[in-house]
Amino acid sequence: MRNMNALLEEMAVRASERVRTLEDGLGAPALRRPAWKRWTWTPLAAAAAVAALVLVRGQGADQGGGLESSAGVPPATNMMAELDVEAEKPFVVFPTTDPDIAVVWLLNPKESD
Amino acid sequence: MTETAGMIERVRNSIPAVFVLPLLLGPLAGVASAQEETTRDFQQVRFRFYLVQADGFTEQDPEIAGVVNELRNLFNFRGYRLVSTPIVNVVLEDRSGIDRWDGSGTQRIVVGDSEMPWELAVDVRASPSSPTIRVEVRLTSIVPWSIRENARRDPVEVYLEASVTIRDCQTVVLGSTRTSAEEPVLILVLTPEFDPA
Repeated sequence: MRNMNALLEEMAVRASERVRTLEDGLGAPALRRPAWKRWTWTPLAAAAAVAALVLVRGQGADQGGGLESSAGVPPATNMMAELDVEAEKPFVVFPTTDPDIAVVWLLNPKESD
Repeated sequence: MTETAGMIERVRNSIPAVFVLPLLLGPLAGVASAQEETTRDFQQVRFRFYLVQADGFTEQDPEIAGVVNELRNLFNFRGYRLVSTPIVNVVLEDRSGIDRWDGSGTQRIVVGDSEMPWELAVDVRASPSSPTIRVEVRLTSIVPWSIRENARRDPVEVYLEASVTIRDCQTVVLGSTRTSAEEPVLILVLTPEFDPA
């Protein structure tokens, strides 16, 4: 009980101190944030900045760091545009109605003549 | 009184640590996972193949319906039959150390009761920064030991061979005109999946 009284008394003293500093005018000490607030918010802001930096860098690495999956990425307009075919036999490349399907038909040398 | 003040002071001092520690540890874990992601030096590609035989088949196979529709627009074969659905997984690695991945895979295909197996071989090259891969695909017929004579190794006849540049989930249909009337017309449908789950 005595402890509780002491605690309440301490809180009352601190509250009155705060009011007193505000009443003293608009001087710098009166407007200064309490030290515990500074110690809480400064590291929080620093941590948020570090997190943002990591996220941005992570996204950059994803863009250049691997074969791109088509999930979530709009497909190329037509695969014929970038289809590069090599074969020992002569061949014909047929476009199709599906932009993601191409037909490569190898010919016999006689046919190609 | 001083004891209580000390307690208040201790509680007050611990408040920042309670909030800041998880926030600091979270990004650190993120840094670790991001580094793990960027230092990965391999990639997996799964190739889904459909080996299709043309002509003389009237039944529709829903698995190749999309491709068959396109083939019907181009050729006058009387039908298409799905013969085999091999899957080849290829792990691409930077073996040369020059930021170029490569890998290969093979698959034996035995069609029905046929004594003559086929071999499907895939060689893949890729650049980590490119959305496409270069695939060299080769379908060969192999005459096995049991039916050949006086040969030191299995003779191999290349049936289809080509190199193509392709993106994730695109499809290349590779076919060939037959060299003789007895020869079947085989069509290879190839679709890569980058980094399959």
